[in-house]
Amino acid sequence: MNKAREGFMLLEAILSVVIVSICLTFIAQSLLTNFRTGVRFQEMVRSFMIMENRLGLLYATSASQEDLDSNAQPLDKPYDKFTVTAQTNTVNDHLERVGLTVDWPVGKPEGYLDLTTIIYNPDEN
Amino acid sequence: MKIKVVVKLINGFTLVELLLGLAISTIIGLSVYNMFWQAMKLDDKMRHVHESYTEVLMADYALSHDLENAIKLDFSGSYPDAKNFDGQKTEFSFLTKTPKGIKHVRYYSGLLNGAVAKSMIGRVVNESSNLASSATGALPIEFLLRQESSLADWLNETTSNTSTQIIAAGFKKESFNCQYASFSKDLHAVGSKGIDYTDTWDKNGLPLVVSCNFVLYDPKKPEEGLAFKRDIFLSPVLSYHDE
Repeated sequence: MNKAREGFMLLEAILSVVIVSICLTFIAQSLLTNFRTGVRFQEMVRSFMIMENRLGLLYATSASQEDLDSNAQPLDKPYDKFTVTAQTNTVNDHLERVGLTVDWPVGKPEGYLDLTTIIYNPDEN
Repeated sequence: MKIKVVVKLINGFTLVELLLGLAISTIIGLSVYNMFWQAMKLDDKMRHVHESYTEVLMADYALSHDLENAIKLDFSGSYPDAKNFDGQKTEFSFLTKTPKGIKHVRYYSGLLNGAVAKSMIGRVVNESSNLASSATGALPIEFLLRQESSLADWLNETTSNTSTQIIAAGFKKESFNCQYASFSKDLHAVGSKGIDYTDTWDKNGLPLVVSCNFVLYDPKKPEEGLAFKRDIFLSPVLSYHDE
C-alpha cells in the first residue's frame, strides 16, 4: 500500500478543536474572574466610603444612641444597596466599644466589611 | 498467475465525516467565541469602571486628608475679610496644614480652558495653558481640581506661588455639590438628626462636616452615572470651640 498523501483523521481534528476550546475557555474564565474581582472592588470602595461616613458621624456625636439604634436600616441613595448594623459594648463610664458592619447582598458569598472602634463619650454611661 | 495491486494514493475524509466534523467544530467554535467575546466586553467595561473607582479613591483621599488637617487662624486684626473656610454649593476653600507649611486650598470642578486628557491626573498644571483635547471635549465631563496657594498669596490676592492639580477626571458636568453643617453641643443626644446641612458656609469658624456629592460619568448610562456621597468630618474639637 502506498500512503503518499494522507490528511488528518476525524478524531485528530476533533481533538485539536477540543484542545483549542479548552484553552479559550480557560482564558474566558480568567476574564470573568477579573470581572468578579472588579465588581467586588467597586463594592469595597463604596463600603469604605459608607464606613468612613458612619465612623465620622459616630465620633462627632460620641456614638449617639439615636444613630446606633437606627443603623439596621438600609441606607439612603446612592448607597441604598447597603445596610449598616452596629453593636455596642460599654467598656467603662466614658468609653464605648462599637462594632460596625456594612453588608451588601451582591455576589456569593455576600459581601461585608466590619470593624471595631472605641469611642469616647464625655457623658457618663 | 494474477497479481492484484491496490494503490490507495489519496486517503482523505468521506463526505459524511467531513460534514460531521465541520458541524461539531462550528458548534464548539461558535459557543467558545461567543463566551470569549462576552468576557472581553465585560473585561473592557470593568477596566473602565475600575479606573473611575480608582479616581474616586484618589479624590476621597485628597479631600479627606486636606479637610481633616484644616486649621483656623485669627486674621481679625490685619485681614478682617479673610475667611478660614469659604463654602459654596459647587466649591470650597480653606486653610490646611501640609508638609510645606500652611496652605490655602480650593476644591472645585471644572475644565482648564477646555478638556484635559485623562493622563494628566495627579499632575500640576498651569491654568493659563491650553490643554484642550478633542477626544474628551465632546463629553459632558469635568475634573476635580485642587488649587493650592501660599498663605501670603491668598492674603495678598496674588498668584505667584499658586498651582492647580488635577485630582480626578470624569466627573459628570455640574455634579460636584457640597453641603456644610455646624457643630451643636447637643449632638450626643440627638445624633445625626441634629446635623443641619446648608448649601453655603460663611461663618467665621470651621464647619463640623463637609458633605460632597458627585457623579462619575458612565458612557453606558450617561443619564444616571455612578453617584457617590462622602461626609468628611473635621475635628469636632475645633468646631466645639467655635460654639
